[in-house]
Amino acid sequence: MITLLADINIQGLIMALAERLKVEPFAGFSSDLKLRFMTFGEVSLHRKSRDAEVWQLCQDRGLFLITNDRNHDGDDSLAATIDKLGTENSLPVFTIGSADRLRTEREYGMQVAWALLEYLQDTENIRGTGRLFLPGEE
Amino acid sequence: MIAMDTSAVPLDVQRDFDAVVARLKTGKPLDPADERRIHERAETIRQKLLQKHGLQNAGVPIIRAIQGELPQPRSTFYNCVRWNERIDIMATIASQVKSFDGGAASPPIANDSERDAPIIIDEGRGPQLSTCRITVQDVVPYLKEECSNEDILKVMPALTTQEIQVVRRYVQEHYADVMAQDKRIGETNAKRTTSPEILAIRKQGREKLQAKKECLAGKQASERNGDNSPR
Repeated sequence: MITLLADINIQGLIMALAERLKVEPFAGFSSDLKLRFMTFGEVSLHRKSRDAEVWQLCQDRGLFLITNDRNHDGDDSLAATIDKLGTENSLPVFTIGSADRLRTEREYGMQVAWALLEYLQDTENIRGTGRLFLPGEE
Repeated sequence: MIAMDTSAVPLDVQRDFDAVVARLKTGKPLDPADERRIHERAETIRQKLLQKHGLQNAGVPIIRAIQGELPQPRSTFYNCVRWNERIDIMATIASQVKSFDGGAASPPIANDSERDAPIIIDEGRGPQLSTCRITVQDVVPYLKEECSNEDILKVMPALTTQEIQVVRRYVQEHYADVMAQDKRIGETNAKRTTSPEILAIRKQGREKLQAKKECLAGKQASERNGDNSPR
């Protein structure tokens, strides 16, 4: 079972992605990985939770956070948290390159879905990578 | 009435305070750099006060000391466009005030509606809602496309329409700064590259996925040919 936690800044789009992954051409691969998507509410995270708190909960409970990247890299940011607390065993954070394109472009959504499935083929292999961008370069 | 001793106030703080008061009196916009600095300092002060004293019910006396009795109904006041500035000026004044008439501070209150009224703050991730971890820049792409509140709620169902309105207002009032930041984000994203190590990991994943695809295709072909019966 692989569980992904949808950040609330992109929750609706990630839940739509989850639905897309349940149908062809992705259904067999998602089912093979036993993919599951959860929301902040389902893991008892407050909507005001700080990046460090969200990241730590993901590490503690073995969840892959999936978010977007439009924030400053200040002391309290996700980037700073990963730099400060991340180790070679930490789970990475998946980051959607453009949430708006995910919302409006079907082909972009397909690329994101394939990229996610490719990275998740070996979850041990992606530990310690910090941040993985979706769809990113191939 | 507020008793103030400004003799120990640093000159730059005093200048900013005067600028905010002038802004409220004249309506003339603040310099963006000054405005940002004032907001940041006010937020720092607010956090220190909250840590030290908890939430206080001194807001209304402070506003009334500044403006006199409110001419508008309460609901209109709370929807006022300049609410952020009122919060900032209260925090700035509170940091300078030596004493309030009436002596000791009131005990902390637990009023959900006041505590949860959204404002824009900056805790190091850029301007964001005080009530939620969603930042102004999270919402900006949808505002640029003139999305309705309903469209934004589809992307971020955790938001309230009140919070979206607060973000919309902030963007209107800080349009140049917000768009400059949006441009910088776009430029940073365009420059992003993937390391060879990550590319190699992804290539391995793609190969595994391809092998699974072929296996699945083989199984499906076998099933079509009736080869799936036990032997």
